[in-house]
Amino acid sequence: MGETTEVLLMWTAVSVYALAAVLFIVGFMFGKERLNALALLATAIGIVPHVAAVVGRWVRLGHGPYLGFYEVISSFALLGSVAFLLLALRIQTLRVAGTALMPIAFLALGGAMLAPKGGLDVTPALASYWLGIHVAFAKLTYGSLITGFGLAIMFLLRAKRPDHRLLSRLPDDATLDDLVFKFVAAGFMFLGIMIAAGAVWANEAWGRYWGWDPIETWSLISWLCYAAVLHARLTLGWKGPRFMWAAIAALPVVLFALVGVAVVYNSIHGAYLTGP
Amino acid sequence: MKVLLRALRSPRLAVWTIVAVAAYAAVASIIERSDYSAPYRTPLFLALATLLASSTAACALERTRRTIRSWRSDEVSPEARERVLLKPMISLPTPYRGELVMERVDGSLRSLGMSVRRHDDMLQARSHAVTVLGSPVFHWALTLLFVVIVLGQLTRSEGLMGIVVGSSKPDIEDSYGKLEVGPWAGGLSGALIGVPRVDWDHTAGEVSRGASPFVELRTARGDLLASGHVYANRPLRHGSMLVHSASHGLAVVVSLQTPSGAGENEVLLDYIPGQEQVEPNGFTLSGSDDAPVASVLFDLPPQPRDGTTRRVRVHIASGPASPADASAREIVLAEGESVDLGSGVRLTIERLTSYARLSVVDDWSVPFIYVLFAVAAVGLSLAIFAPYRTVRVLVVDGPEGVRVHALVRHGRGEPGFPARVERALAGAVKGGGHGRDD
Repeated sequence: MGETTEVLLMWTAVSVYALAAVLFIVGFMFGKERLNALALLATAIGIVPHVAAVVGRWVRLGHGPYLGFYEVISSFALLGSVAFLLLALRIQTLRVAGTALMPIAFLALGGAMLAPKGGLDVTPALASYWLGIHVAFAKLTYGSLITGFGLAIMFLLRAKRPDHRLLSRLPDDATLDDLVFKFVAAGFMFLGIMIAAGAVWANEAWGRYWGWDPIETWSLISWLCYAAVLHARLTLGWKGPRFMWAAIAALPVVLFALVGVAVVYNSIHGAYLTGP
Repeated sequence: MKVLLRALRSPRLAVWTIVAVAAYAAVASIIERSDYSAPYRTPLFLALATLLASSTAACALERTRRTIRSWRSDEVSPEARERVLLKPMISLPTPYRGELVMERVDGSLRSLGMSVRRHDDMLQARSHAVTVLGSPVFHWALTLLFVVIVLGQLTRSEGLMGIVVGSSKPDIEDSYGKLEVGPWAGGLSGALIGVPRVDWDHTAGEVSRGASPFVELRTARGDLLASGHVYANRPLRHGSMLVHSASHGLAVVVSLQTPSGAGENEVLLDYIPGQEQVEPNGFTLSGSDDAPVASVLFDLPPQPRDGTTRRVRVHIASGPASPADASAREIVLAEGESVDLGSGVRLTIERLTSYARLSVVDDWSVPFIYVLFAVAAVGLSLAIFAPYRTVRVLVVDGPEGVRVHALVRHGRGEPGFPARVERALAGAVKGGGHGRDD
């Protein structure tokens, strides 16, 4: 697959995700179940060109989607959309969470499309099987935490509008609260494994497992933020809205660790996102 | 001591300490500096880290106590029986009696993945014994991680050593250009580290690894301990010693003939990133009265960067030499050529070759840190996804018929668990087409 075909497929995915996001939002505003179902269908349709573009690029460049802003963010958008689709198909009452999640997927992929699309080389420092482990857990981390974030927003919206037609179909408060906790806790665990895998890899590549490099530091800060959120829930009894606000407030920190640090700081880690 | 322990295990203190460490790290990362780790050696950070470690240890202790208590409370006592009887979370009528109802309840609890024990008219089910250990194991692993990391930092050594190709250096303090040794570190190994060659375009696993030194590690007597190409993601290991390739450059080996005798010097020249030039480097020669005789600085005349440099440019000055110094003498020399530096000193280029700068780390703690990472991950997984669960079921034969009372406990208070237990019990004890033991 050539680069032009890949870009066309990606723009198709962006457009269909945009449609899905609009359908979810309009369906939510007017409480239309049918629009919600259409939005889910649009999500599924959007995933097809997205997968084709990612796989085509993988075959063409010979490495997975983990180098450069375009690859990293578009693959996060893809995995997020797939995870949401699977979740919504399994637990139909959670479909409405697409109102929060699909705009994120659309904006992420749209943002990725504005970045340079040239392929970065797999440098000797990146050529390690630890890369696969590190990246896999990074995707699981962000997938879990963003899903937890979306569900937390739904929880808070329902608290404001308990009679909303779609929101009232969500699982009861206790179950939704527990679901958010599980996603946040899973994300916390994956983040921990991602950091540990990164430390092992750093030791192999550079001879030190920790160097307080900005990305290492911000990954640790993210982990500590989620540790505080989970501690507050498990030991201080933060349930319901307080826990939801905490889960929402922690996400920007972890997103900054992913994207912001590589852009703001001059770090040896940043090469994976911005090139050497 | 008790007061201190009580204070340290306070959940509020734990949360605020975590937040404080995160906030410190965030602020420290904003302040621009070349040494990223400098803010984490300050007394304030060390105090915060110590508080966090102490709080984690106190929490681990508290959770272990709670685990033991929880384990003991699983023993069926008259009080436990009383609690189920008086305050059941689930109470279901059943047409079954005697042994049959016990068997059906037993089967339904086992279908939830729990092991079941029977005590007269009461059934006690609990998840696998290992599930009770999740949170304590996680907190103890974190506590030990703090301890091992600190001990590792206090006892490790890490240094950079430039070795001219074809030579070796012993692992002693004088061989290092830069060396950091922990205050509790034992002596350096004294092993010989040699670089017989550098492969300029080494390929491994179908990936070009760039310039890769071949490194040999030998005992002081010369017995080979380990050897191999060293490049990113492929260090040379021997025991707790890890040798990485940090960089490489050109090396000039010169001999000096002075009125008082002869000597040899090695000058290491680092490439300037992105350029075909090296950072000038050299030395100052002193006379018998320690007065400087001449300064010599080496760099390259224009030539390709291919590791086969055959000429070097020498800047000679009576004061500090600089490539920009117009008064400095400048001469391009090849291997075997000489230049007179004055005062009877003659410099000869013996060899123009390359060198590898190796990072040599001796840290016993790394494998233990990896093991603790793994243990912490297992403990956390258990605590989140498979917390300790117990169900106590009492079969009561009263005036209103037989009822099944149950008390359910979930380590994390998952709201769906009592409902799952109720569904399983209801399915087992509701009336149906089965025979009744009455």
